[in-house]
Amino acid sequence: MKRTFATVLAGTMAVTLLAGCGSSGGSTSSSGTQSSGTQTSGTQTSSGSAAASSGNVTLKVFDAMAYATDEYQTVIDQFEADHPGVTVEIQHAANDSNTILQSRFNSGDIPDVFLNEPGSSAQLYYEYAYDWAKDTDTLSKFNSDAVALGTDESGHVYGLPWTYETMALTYNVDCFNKAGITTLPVTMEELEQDCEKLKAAGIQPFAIAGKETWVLAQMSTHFIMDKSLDATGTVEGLESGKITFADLPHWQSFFKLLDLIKKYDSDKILETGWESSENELANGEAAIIHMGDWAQANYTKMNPDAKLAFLPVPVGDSADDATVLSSVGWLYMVYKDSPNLDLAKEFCEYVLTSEQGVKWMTEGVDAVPASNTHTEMSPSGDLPKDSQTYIQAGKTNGWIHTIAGSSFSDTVGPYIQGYLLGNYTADDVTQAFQEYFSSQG
Amino acid sequence: MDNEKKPVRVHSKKGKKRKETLMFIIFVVPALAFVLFATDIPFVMNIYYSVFDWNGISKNLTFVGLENFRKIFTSDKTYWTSWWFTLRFTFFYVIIVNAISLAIALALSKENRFAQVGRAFYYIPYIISLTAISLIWEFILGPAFDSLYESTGWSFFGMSWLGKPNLAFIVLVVITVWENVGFYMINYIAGIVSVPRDYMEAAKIDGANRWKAFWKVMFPLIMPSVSICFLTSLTFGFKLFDIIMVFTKGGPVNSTVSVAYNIYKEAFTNNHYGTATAKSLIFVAFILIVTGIQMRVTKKQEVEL
Amino acid sequence: MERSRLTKGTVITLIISILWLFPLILIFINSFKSDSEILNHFLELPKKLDFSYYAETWTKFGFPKLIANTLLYTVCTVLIVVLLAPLAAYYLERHKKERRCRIAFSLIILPIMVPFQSYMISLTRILGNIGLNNTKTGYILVSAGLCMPLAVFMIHGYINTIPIELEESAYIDGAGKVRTYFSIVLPLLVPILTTVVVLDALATWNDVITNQLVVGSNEAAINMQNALYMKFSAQTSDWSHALPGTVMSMVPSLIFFIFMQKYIISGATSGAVKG
Repeated sequence: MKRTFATVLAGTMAVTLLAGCGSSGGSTSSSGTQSSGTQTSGTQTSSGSAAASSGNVTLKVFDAMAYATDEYQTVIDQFEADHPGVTVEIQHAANDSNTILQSRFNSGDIPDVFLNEPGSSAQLYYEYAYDWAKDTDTLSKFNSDAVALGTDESGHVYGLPWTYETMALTYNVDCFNKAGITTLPVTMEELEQDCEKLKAAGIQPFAIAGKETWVLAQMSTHFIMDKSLDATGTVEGLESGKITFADLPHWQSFFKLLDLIKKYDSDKILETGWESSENELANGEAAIIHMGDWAQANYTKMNPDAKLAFLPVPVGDSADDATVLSSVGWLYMVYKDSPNLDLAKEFCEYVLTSEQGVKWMTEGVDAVPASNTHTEMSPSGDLPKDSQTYIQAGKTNGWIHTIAGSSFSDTVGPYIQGYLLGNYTADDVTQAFQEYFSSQG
Repeated sequence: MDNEKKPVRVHSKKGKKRKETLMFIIFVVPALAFVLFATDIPFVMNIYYSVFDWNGISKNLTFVGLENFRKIFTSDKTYWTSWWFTLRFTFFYVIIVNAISLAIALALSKENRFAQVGRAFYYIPYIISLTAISLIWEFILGPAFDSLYESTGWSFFGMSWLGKPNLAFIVLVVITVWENVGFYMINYIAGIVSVPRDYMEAAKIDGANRWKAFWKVMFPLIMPSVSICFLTSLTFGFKLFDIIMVFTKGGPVNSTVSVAYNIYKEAFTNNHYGTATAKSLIFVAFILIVTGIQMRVTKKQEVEL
Repeated sequence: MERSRLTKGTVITLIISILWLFPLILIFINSFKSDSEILNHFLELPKKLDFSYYAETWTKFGFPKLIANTLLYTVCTVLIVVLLAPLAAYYLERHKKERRCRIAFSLIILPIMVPFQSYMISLTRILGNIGLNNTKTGYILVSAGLCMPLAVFMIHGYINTIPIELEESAYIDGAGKVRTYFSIVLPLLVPILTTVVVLDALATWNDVITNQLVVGSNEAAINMQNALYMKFSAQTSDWSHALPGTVMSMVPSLIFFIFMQKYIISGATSGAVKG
């Protein structure tokens, strides 16, 4: 009994190992000319063969977000109308986008165009991505600081930037007015005084989304930022061990902010999800949260009359120290071995720089495009307008959380939650951050 | 056994054997093929990945031998706390969900209109999509409890049910029990109604009280239902994933990270696919041992009773 | 005396069952509201009975097509499982002393204990290699394969309780194994098969993750729950369409359950040969 079982098990394993090696072998060779063969499966077969005969092509687009999908669809419809015979097959995988994109690459069903967050997520796909470095005409249509986010050390450009995303503390203007706050606080002490004023006016000062580890982790990066090094320099320094958390100029202020939150947020802070956090802010039930301008469309939906603005995070002693962090939300990447490479490139350019596309980004998504082709159009929401001002004034710094490795939020977020609950001391939290960055080096 | 019984018909033994193999192919192989294709083979493929350093995307796999396993055993604290959570959760879930669903099944096993409606009610959470369920519970524990707290002043409603690790654990057990009771109830009812009524009547005539009649007569006869429900609840607990994914996301302070969720995060957020498969192998090895023991125990009871 | 005591327990259980009905009521009343009304007035009745969200969801998500897909998946999965699982379970139970049956049984029930998340990448590699990803066929095969283990296990346990004598008399009458199975064994399995049908139909009807993984990029092949789930992301939500969608997707499953539960009960009682 035992022996046969072992034989069968060994047999099954041998077969499946062959299957495993076969499949990985298949994908290893897929870099060259074979790739089109490997990935001609499912729908691709039909469209591929049809392409030869009647000129019908299906462009496969993997979309990792779900912002203003209706307006996005009009852009795609327009693109299809301009390109007879082209069908754009788009997957809106806003939920668990990493997982789904990863499985599409593994199944060989590699999309022609796919989206990733710049930084660690995009880097995973650099080896598959088309290098735009030589397409200078296209690149000139984008702001160079945004293009830099998809560029590696050797100057390869692996993705085109979508829109800017900017984050800081966000406050409800009406609440501040009601509490008689006329100037924005630039130190933690001033922030505390303002909290007192808000409380006296019957407004809950904070409604931080403490349930979301990503919100807490993003919030912490303002205090990691060393403006003399900017995001990349700070992260590199921390990872290589050249600087430690003890060297960071404003790190200890983070705990002052957390203490304020402990004192002035609701008792159920770790229950607040992003949605109720945004909702409380939009409706004036709470005055301050940490979030970015990507939430503008949500705020407008929750309360069309909400007046909101950014409050640069008062990490230090003066207004110059206060931080607003800005980056690009998504990079449009093109699969370098795509059978429809030129069409895919054209699609990206169309979506990101055409009038239709810019209209989608500014009116639909309510964000600041990273392209410079239609600067006459700009977003209408308070926050994107605000962020545009900060960006143009050069008062923003880069994002740390996207280049600090993909497990940053999941690793440090729970420690911040623990501090808010009183389970961890400031030293415990600092140590966890330190260990995280050291392990990335 | 069969072969020993009929040693006389030697001449047909070979033909019979061939025929039995044909029967095996007709009866068993189709179902087996489906399972091999959808789960067994992909799972065995994982054994291959577990000795590689691989991000799940790249064409480059680096062979690292048993390094992934060494790392898990020496320096992965979250994985082992997720074990502790999963074991605790499974323990409470299995006991509570089976006790409650069996009680409901006993009360609603009579065939009348009221029982029919009641069964449908208990079944409802089981057919609602999980996103909707998590929305509802977020609102019950949030705004609904808040307003109840204001009107009653009971501290029960004022607690931060999802914000404190211990309370979140309780909430999670309550929600999963509430959600799945319908499924186990149906299984128990299918068992209960097949017990001939005269068996219970006879026990009562013999003077046994209801409690005793249930344990001595009913329970042994519904043992197949019991073992199905125990196994499914046990594996549900061990494999707990969906509700964590959409509802607690492992928080607060990582207190509700289950093993399956930890494996998922390792593979798709941390992009350590090799480590994640190594974790899943450790997990399955453990589960095989536990369920092996569990099945042996229930089987033994079935025979004894 | 005895009757009234039983009724008391039943009555209490019925009263408690309201707690289980509650979410359905909440979903229903909120399915008529806008997003901000849902977020700010969750526990209140809708201001007016506004069916426009239902109409919008119906057209915007292409519900007719979604229903057609989901129905196709559910029917095919259930048919495959109900056809093949009892065959395997029956043979494996009656020959459980045989080596190959023990091995086959272990291989079939092993997946019950393995989390799907741990092997889904490997599964997509296989599907990609044989060209089945993004196809409806591929999805049905995977879906049936995932439902099979528990189905076989449940039926296997049930057959264990059916006395073997019935089949033996059929053999003596000269019936072959296949005929005995269909004429004697299968009718006795109706109650457990009904449970399996309910379980697997529901699992397929409500499936999100497998659908997303296998046919996620083929919009023509996605199912209902997946289409609804796709409208959410880490930072956006769309409750005002998700809730009407949930209600619409639930109605068929609820009707189906109410219809099937009669068979679970009556099927079990008619199997009087048992015990």
